[in-house]
Amino acid sequence: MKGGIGRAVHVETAVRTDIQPPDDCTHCIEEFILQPPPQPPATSSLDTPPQPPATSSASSHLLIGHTSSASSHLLIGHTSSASSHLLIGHTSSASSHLLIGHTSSASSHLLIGHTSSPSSHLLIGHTSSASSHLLIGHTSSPSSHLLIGHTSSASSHLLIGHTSSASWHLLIGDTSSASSHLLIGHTSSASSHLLSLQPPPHWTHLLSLQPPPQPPATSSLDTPPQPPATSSLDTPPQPPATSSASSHLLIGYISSASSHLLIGHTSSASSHLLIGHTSSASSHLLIGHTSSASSHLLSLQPPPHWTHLLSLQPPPHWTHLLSLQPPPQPPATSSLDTSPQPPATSSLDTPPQPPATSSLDTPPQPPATSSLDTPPQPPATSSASSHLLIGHTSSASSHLLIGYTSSASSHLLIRHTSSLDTPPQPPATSSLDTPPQPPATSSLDTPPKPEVSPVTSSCSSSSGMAPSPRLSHVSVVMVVLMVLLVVASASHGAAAGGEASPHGAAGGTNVTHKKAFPVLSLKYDHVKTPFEISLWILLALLMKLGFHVIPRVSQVVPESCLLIVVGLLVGGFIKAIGEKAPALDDTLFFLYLLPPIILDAGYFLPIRPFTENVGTILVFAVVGTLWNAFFMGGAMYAVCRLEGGPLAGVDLLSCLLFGSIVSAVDPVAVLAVFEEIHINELLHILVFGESLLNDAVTVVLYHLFKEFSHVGTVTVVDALLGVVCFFVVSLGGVMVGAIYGILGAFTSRFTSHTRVIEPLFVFLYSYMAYLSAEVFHLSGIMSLIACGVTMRPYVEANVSHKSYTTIKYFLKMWSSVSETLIFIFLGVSTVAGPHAWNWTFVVVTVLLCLVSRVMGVVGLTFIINKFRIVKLTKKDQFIVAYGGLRGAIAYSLGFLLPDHQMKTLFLTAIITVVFFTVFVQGMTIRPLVELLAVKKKKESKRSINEEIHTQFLDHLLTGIEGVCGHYGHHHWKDKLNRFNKEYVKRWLIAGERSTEPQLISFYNKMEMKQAMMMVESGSSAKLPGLISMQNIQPKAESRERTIPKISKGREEEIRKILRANLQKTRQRLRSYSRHDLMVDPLRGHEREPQRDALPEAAGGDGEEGTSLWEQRVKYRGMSHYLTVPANRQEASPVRRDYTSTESSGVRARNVGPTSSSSDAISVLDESPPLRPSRRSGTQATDSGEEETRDQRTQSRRLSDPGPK
Amino acid sequence: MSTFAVQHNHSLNPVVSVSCPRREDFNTIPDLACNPIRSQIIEAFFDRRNFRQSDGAGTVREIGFGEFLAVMSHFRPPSIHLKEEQREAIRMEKLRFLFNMHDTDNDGTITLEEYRHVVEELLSRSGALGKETAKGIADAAMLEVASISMGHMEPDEFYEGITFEHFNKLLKEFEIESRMNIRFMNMDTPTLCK
Repeated sequence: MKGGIGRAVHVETAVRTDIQPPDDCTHCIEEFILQPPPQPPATSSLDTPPQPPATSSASSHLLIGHTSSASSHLLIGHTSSASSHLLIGHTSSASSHLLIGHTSSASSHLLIGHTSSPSSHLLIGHTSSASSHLLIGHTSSPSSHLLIGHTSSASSHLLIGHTSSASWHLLIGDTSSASSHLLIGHTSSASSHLLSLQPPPHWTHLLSLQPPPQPPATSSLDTPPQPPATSSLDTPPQPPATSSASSHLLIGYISSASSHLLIGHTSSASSHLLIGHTSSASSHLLIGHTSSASSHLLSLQPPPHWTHLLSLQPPPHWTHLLSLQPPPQPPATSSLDTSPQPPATSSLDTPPQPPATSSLDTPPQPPATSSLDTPPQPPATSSASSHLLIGHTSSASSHLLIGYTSSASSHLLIRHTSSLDTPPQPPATSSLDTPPQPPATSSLDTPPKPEVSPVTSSCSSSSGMAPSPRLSHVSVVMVVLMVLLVVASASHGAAAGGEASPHGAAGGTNVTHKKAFPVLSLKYDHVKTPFEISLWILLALLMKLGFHVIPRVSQVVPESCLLIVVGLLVGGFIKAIGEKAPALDDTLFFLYLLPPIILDAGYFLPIRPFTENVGTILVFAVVGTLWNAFFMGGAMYAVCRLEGGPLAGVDLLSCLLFGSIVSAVDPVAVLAVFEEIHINELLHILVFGESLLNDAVTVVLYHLFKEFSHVGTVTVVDALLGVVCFFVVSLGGVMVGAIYGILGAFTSRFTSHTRVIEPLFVFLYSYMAYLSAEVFHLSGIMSLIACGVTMRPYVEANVSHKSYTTIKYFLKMWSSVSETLIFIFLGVSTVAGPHAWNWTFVVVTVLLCLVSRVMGVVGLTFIINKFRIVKLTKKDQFIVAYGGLRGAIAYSLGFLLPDHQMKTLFLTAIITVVFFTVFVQGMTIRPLVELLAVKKKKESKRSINEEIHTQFLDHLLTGIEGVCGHYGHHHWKDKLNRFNKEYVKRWLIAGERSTEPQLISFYNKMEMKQAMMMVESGSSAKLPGLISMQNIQPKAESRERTIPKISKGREEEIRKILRANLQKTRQRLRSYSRHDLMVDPLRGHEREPQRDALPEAAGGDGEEGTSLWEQRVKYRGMSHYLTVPANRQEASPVRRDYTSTESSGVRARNVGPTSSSSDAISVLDESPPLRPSRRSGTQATDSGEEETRDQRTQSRRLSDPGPK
Repeated sequence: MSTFAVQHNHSLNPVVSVSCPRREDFNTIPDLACNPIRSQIIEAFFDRRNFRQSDGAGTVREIGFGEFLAVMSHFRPPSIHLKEEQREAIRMEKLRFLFNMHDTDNDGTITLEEYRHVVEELLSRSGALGKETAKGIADAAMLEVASISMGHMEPDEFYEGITFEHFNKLLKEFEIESRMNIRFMNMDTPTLCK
């Protein structure tokens, strides 16, 4: 691979998850072109015989390889120095997680490769230097996550390619190094997640995109000329097909996979599944010859995996492999396999080429990796230190390692060379694979294996399990190992186990391959993600809970502060145990955590104060934020100029960008703090409204400056476009939101038959609004708010009471969870992230934040007050200025900044500002509010009188404006209301409620609440109200008192009516009365017959009253429910009988309020002489029982006010 | 004053275009046509109690420009530099205006009947439903007032109606001084109406 210098680098990152795939590719290509030529020598020199010394020094977890020095987790390779997690490779120095490769130096997670120096996570490759997660490749220096390739330098997540340097997530190529999620290729290294899952797409990619171009590449690599390259490492010629894969799935030959699945020959896989020859795999599953597998799930998930391999994916994969690639590849591979190149992967499988993996074991392969395994190299100086290793001439460094000629130092190691294979490694391998390896693969792959197709076919066959003995061998071995190693992971089960059995004792492994049905199996990987998410949320909520359990803490310190502290502690802990703490990354934040909070805020936005102060809010949000951004930016620039030193490099645009990030008040932080201090509505809406509406400004400024600082120049046109952009972003956002809001309202019109899903519509439409706005870079926050505000009145009129409660609770719950998580993550990522602390910069930032905020607020208020009716006082200004907290939005925007030398500096400053505002300002604002005696929010709920007067005042003011012909804000509001009532409501609200005036709905709602309260409290006795309708009924109406006499037949009638009417819960709820609600209906309808009975009752006397009284006393004992309300009512009429006629006011008491609806009152008014609450003794008793029963049902119903 | 009249009234509506407008003139104002409490608003302009130099109760048949402005002056916004007493005075004055609108018979209390009338008027635009509910609402509101202002009441006691103190108490949280205002363009209304 190294040798394949001028080779075109085919790095097809078709399935890239990243945003800027093109960039990466180009990078790769460039680097490849540059590095390959010079490097071959270097690396090759390393790998060549002279190097067999296999001088590897591993200081950390796993080291497999010759001449390698690994200091960290896994190292597999020759002459490599790896310092971190996994290293597989020759002559490589890897310092981090995985390293597979030759002559490579990897410093981070995975390194697979030759002559490479990777410094980070995975490195697989030759002569490559990878510094980050995965590195697979030759002569490459990648610095970040995954690197697989020759002579390539990749710095980020996935690298697969020849002489290529890819730095991002997906890399697939020949003689390439792939280190992350998906890697598929020949002589390739694949290292990541989803080979199994997305094979169809991947393969198509492979086929369509890469294969054609690659065959040459690979062939060139594998061909004689290339032997030197990577191949030099593994095979004598280089058939080594020196591919290193480091991640999840790898299928291919001469590939190195380091992750989940690897199937192939001569490959090095470091991760999950590896099937192949001559491969080094360092991760989860590895099956293959001459392969090194090093990771998790060989034992655990074989059943599913295998099934996947066999049933699910093989079809697509194989077809792809067979149809697409074989043709082009045969040449390549064939070239390899041809006499000169027998070594290649095919060489391994073919008789002539037993070499491949076998070549390693065979004499001819002394050099390269094979050199390790071969006699000359018997040193097979592979050292595996972790879980399972299976393979020949392979070095696997992670969880599972199965292999020959390998030395494993950790949990489970089965060596052929040593134990199984013994010195004559060939035997070992042969025992497994059989000397005539060809048979194995050949049997599977068909005789004509010389080509690559065989390899692939072998893979396919292996995936097919049944047919492929070799794979089965491997699987058997693996199974055995797994059984041994992973205690409970014996769930090898059906597929693998079944396959394994025919092969009998897999070679030298003296472990039983047949495993009993797994009673208990472990499958953590399967649930890992949701499990961890749940764990985080649980942690967050428990913390939140804890703060409220501990007394007084929440009084002093705002919750947000406590949560950040918890985050810091957790972050510290995670760091202490050596894990990588999750950062608050922008996707998580903007797509999942922020929307619930904003929706909650928008949906429950207090409309009236908001609209009344919208001018002020807009001025603060737009002008204020602009001022802050530019002032901050300018001042920071000046400071940087003056300070010089490390700050000298900060240019004006960067400063402005920084200013725009740090100047925006954050709704999350504001909400968290202001909710706790209960400040008056005006101030709350001013600060909070500003924090919501400034989003548009922030978005525009941020993108603008980011763009400018990229380009470097700003013209007037740009500035103008910026202004236009602002309007587009804000108004566009609002429009998108409003459209979704109306859609949502309209949808809710039809949900009366499927109440259960009602709440979901609210959430989904809102979320869609947010996402749609984000699609166009519009202001998602404004969109969400517009959606909530638009939707709410109509939705609330449409949905059932239960749905309303559900919506409310879900919103509150989600926003609360989100908020908690945000603060905790803020703490965690503070610990996790890189920092560049510069005293001047940080201190100046904090100071300027305060200064510009104060100046902005004071200056703007001065102007605004000229137009406001209610002026903002000095106190108000202070609170508005002081309440300008910064928060997670600023942090996330900072996090989003392109990598830049100043990024960490900015990020540190932003975090400091956030912490300063949240801690210092957040904690002191409460005492200050109290000190200044700022008006607090009123505690009580809105009373009906206030509602009446609000309405009255609205109309009055509109009227007065009309009288003096001034079209002010009331006028337009009135117009809007009328339009809304006449047209919009009709369309958006179903049924009669569309015409219901606001006052009435308020009244209904209030009654409902009252009724619920009453039901909940068990009886009306606990309610505070001591005044009933009788007290307010005009006296004049109650002159006469009569005691109705009721006949038996009448009683019956009454009872019937009562019963019928008690069913109508809703009507009952209409009436407003604290005491009488329960009994109301009785009363109301009772009166009807009573009126008829009036004439006869006219002569009622005291005796009756007495007996009635006794009756009452008696039945009071009978029913608890009845006594309290009933007693009170009955008592007074009785007493009235005794006392005087003047107290006739009492008479009415049972009437008005108790009536099932207001018509009761009208009845009363029409016939004042009615005497309601008189009943004969029998009736009292009977109806007493009845009442009891009915009340029970009633209270049941009330407590569960079903869909209205 | 004349500026005010000319600017805001003269050309726009018939009230001030006649020298001494009567109720009929007010009734012709188009903007009032849809207002549910139109009659009450109009009454307020002819209520003696709302004139500054209030000489007793009762209504007048026609008002002059001075009276008109006197009524309008109830709607001027308070200035920012007010002492607490002044603020309170303004509040009282505005409340009194409202109270007078409700207390049609000028007996110092808003009786249930009167209150019902108010609510009915408010809901007069919403058809039969409103009419039906209005009483219930008024009764509920009255109950609320009674419980707020009287606390406990014996069953045989009778709550006469809302007195001004009760009214004040009732709307204590209402912040009427900052709500019952009309912005008259850029005119400095306080000086105009003195």
